[in-house]
Amino acid sequence: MKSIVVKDLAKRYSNGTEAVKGISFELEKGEIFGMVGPNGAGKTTTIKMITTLTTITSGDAFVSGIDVKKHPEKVRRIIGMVPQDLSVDDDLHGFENLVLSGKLYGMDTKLAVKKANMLLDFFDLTEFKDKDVGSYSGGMKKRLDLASGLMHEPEVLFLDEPTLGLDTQTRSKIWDYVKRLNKELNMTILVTTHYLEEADMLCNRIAIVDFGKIVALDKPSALKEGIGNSVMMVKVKNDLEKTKKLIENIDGVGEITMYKEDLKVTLKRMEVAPAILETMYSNKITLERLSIKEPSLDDVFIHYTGAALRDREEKTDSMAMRRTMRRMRQ
Amino acid sequence: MKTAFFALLVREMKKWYRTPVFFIVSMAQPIIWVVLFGSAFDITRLFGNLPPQAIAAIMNTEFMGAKNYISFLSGGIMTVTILFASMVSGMSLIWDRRFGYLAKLMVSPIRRETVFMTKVFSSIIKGIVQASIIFVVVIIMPSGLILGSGFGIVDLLTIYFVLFLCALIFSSLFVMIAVRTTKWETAMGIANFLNLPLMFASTALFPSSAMPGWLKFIAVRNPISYAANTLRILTIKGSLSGALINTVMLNIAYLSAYAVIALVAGFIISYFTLTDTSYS
Repeated sequence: MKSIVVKDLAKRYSNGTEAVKGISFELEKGEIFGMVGPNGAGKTTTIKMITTLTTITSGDAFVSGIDVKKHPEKVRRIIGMVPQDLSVDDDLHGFENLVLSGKLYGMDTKLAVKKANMLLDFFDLTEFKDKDVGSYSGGMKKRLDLASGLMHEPEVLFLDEPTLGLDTQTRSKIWDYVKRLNKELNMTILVTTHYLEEADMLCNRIAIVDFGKIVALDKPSALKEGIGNSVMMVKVKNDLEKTKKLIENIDGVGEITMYKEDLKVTLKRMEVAPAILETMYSNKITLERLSIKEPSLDDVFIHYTGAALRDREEKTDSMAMRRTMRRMRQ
Repeated sequence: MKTAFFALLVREMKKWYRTPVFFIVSMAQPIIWVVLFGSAFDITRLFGNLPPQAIAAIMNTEFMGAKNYISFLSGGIMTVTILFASMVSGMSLIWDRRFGYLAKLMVSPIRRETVFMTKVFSSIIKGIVQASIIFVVVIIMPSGLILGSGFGIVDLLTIYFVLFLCALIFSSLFVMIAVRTTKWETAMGIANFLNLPLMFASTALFPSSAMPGWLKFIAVRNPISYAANTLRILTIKGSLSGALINTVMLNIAYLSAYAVIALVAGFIISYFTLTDTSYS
């Protein structure tokens, strides 16, 4: 049975905002599925609908075959959710936080204590188990939050921006834990992130979400292949249009688009690169900057949305980051 | 779902006693009311030149037969203590939302009403503990509360039942406000806006005979007045006669009606508000 089935899922808020405009996807058991997109693209709203936190305006969602709209209580029993903002209680000890989480799922004290100790060990928090969570670092709090979402051994785990606001080392550590969970427990994991390189490394499949819709969905490698091969970025001193025309006529050159001040040239074969340089040289075009790279998910993102993720979310992202940082420091 | 309810109740208690400064401050306030306000506003001193029998007569008709002002004030302050304790702990729901804990509760299979009920009951426990301390303080303080002769265990249990009803009314009210509000500032504003009129338009501090007609009209219908008056009858009068028993029963009936309304309203509002957390 599929772990998650989502059909034409849409959300319209009471103020008229259409956060999600018809999203469909399916997750196999044991898959790590990434939703990538700028803030406000509808990732969190999609997760909130599947995890019963907000009502579904239209469409359907099923978790392990259970209809989210009809049986939200049953869905809540089998899912784990680690929201974007920390959801641990600063006034309680790490251990107490976990035991309490277990009891929310009806566990008796004995079982909850056993599971809590296991998870504290898994996330390397045993040493700090009897300390106030308020004294934890941001990364420790996030780990505890993850542990707390796993107390009841969910079939499907939802991680909303699990690494937002964390430093690079902590981030890679969090991903290690996620990979282990997936491997050792065959847990299905749906994760949202806007760190493309992380999604690339971690996820079996990725959905690129923009303006409430999925614009592309595939394996990371397939997505990259889908937009052509290598990409050459060229910046010239004079006559951009002329350069464009010259390069266009070379055999083996694919699509040419503008990206900021650079020409973005898709190369069907790597061997075309010298020919391009030669043509430019013989036509007395002065080169200012040049780079060649294999396509990254960033390129995929630019290809499908027409803008780099970074540019799109400069404003909203820094706000979200500040909020998370503030919370972490508390 | 009993497990979740008690686990969450324990959480509230831990958060309470682990913040001793907050605990002490919240206790100090009502004690200040009794000791400072009670001593400064001792109305009976204004009767200084009257013969003792005349004073006794006034105390009998206006102050329910209290032997001094603090005996009269005690019931009122215990009630007001409950009001303020309910406000503070009811509002803690807003912090749970702010700090993300509410999201954890909402994604778990606990019933939406359980969140409301844990807040209400933890608030009742806190309020009753605080009121009990006030009760002890007014009894042991010099020229404090003078219990009526024949005060017994039934009176004590009835006092606690009244305190319970009173806490149930006000914590339901404040949790209801907190569940609908996302901003701490807004909720505090509403709470303060409600608290002072609730306290002053009641017989918590003064007898209603001293009030103008319109205020009296409001005051006698205020649940705080029902609770304060009942506590006074129980503490000051001692062994109760038939008529007083009837008054106590009637007041408890009124309080119960208020409690049922507040509880049902809070229950419904929490259920519908928490079912869709997208507003937060």
